[in-house]
Amino acid sequence: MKEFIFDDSFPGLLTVLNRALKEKGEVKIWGKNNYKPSLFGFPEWVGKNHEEAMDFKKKLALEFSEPAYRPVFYAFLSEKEDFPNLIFDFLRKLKTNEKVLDHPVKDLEKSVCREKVRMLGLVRFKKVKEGYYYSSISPQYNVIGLLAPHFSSRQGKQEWIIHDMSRQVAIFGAGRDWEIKELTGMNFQTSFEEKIVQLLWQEHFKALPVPGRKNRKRQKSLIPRRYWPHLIEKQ
Amino acid sequence: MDLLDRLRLLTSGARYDASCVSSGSKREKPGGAMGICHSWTEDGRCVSLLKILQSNDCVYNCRYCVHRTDRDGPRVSLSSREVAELTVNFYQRNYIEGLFLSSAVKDSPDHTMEFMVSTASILRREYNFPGYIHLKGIPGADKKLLQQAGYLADRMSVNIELPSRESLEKLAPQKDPQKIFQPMNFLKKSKEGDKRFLGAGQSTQLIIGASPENDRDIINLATKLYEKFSLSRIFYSAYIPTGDPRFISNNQAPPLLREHRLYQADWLFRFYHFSPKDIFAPGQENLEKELDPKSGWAIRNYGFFPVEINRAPYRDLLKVPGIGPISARRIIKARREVSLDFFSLQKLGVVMKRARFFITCRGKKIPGLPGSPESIRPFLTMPAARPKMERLFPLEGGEKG
Repeated sequence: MKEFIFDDSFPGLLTVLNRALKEKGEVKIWGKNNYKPSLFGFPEWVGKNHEEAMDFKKKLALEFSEPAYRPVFYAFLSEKEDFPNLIFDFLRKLKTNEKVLDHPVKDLEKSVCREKVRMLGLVRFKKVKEGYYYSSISPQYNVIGLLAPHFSSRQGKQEWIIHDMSRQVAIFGAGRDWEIKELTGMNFQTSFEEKIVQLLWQEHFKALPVPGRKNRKRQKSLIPRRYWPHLIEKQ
Repeated sequence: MDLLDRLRLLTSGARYDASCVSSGSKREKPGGAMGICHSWTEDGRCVSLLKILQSNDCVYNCRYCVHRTDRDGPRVSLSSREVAELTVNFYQRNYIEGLFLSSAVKDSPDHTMEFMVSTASILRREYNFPGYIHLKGIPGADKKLLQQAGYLADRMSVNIELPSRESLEKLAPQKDPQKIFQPMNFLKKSKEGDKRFLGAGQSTQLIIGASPENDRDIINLATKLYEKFSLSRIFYSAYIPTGDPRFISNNQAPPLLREHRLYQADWLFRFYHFSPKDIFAPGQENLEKELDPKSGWAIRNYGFFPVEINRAPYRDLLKVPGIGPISARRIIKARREVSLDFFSLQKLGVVMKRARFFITCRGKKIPGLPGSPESIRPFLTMPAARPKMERLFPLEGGEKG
């Protein structure tokens, strides 16, 4: 068996996949942080190579039996255990025209996509004294980068931050530009005006349901409890 | 009264409008994506708009309505600027995608319409608000006002509420039924060929259960309305007993199941190529409670089936209970690649517990299933009445249950 190890980055993953797909026999891909050394395995280190990664990205779009870039990228974002080998298996099957309709990578793609769409609605900005808009989230998957294009056009000229608390990264947006940076903590003050707006929103939300139609079970299935801590209307 | 109290009163006054959509607009705008749900209320409805009344101070005394003149309770309004500022503040914080503004008829139809137009105008002109705006069209308001509204809003709705002239005359004696259709007609005409006018079209609402019309009357009216006024949507709203007890029985629970069945029927003729006469059997007046209308059709027309998944055209796939437009399209795409079996159908989102009775894959039915329309029926009705079956695929021994 041929073993590879890569640096856990996405370009790194693309590089290692490109190499691994050239192998004929069995392959195992390790992420750097999950590597468990064994007595007989001697994994080959594959450093990320941006040029090779870009080339392979193009190949994913064109040279497989169906467009494969999105499933690969979304499965990467799912951070699911053993995702590099799932993706490798998926691509190998595509290459040999095998059926991938119910491949785990397809399911991961779907779950990540659903989480992204959900987060588009669940981000709650607070306007802070310093003048920018701040939102904290803890999505199940690493979807923060997928949110950026939507909010960069939606928020107009505002300056805004969406902070993934569990992964300690954040998007910083200003006008049309945005970038993703590491961010551990954030110090800001909530203004009086902000508290009023939150209060109004909570009051509105409380008054919305029609008394004769309460259906908590449906509410919970549509918005699972793990999202509540960041939602102002659920405080 | 302070803003918080008025917000509460005017929110609870607006909640009887069933609409919650913010999608379908063709208006170009930054931020593009619409139809986003921002939260879900305790009654399980999606929140995507600030849904609120400009005022609950009404000159009419419609018997079914919470705002009728002879009902007690505080009468309040929000100023145009107040509504505009609430909308902008909520929008910037990503609580909502836009505004759904309705109103009781305060003083006169013209005055009320002007009030709402001025709110929308502050939003669009002063705040450059890019979000979605839905405005209620007030019957009897001046055409100039309706026209202004149509250029500011993405969608408008003129609510018919009661599904027949007799009921309108009885329960809303001050309203002239003809006047409800005039603004609908005007909006339809103004929209023709003008892309900037009501990008998401117009809709209306019918109240279900406050008056004696049967489902067949309602569906017939609905198809005519879609045709005549090119409506984008009709909302059906189960009547919540808040009306005048001298005119409406208030003992009943809101007919939620009936409302649900009407939406199913509405979907059938909008997206499934059914006609109203497919939906009702001859002589049938109401939709069945236990059975969804599509399954009902399938049982009555059992001779149409089975549909062969690997060959049937799109329209035939759509006739199968458990297959919708999305899964039908997926089937057509997937079968170009491979010949489909029953397990792959489940993956494609087909609801096999209903579809299994009506399909074949590669010419074969799932063995061991009942084969006459009446013996299938209990498997398609509501959970309580459904006999238990050990496995979805009785003789295939599959691992999926």
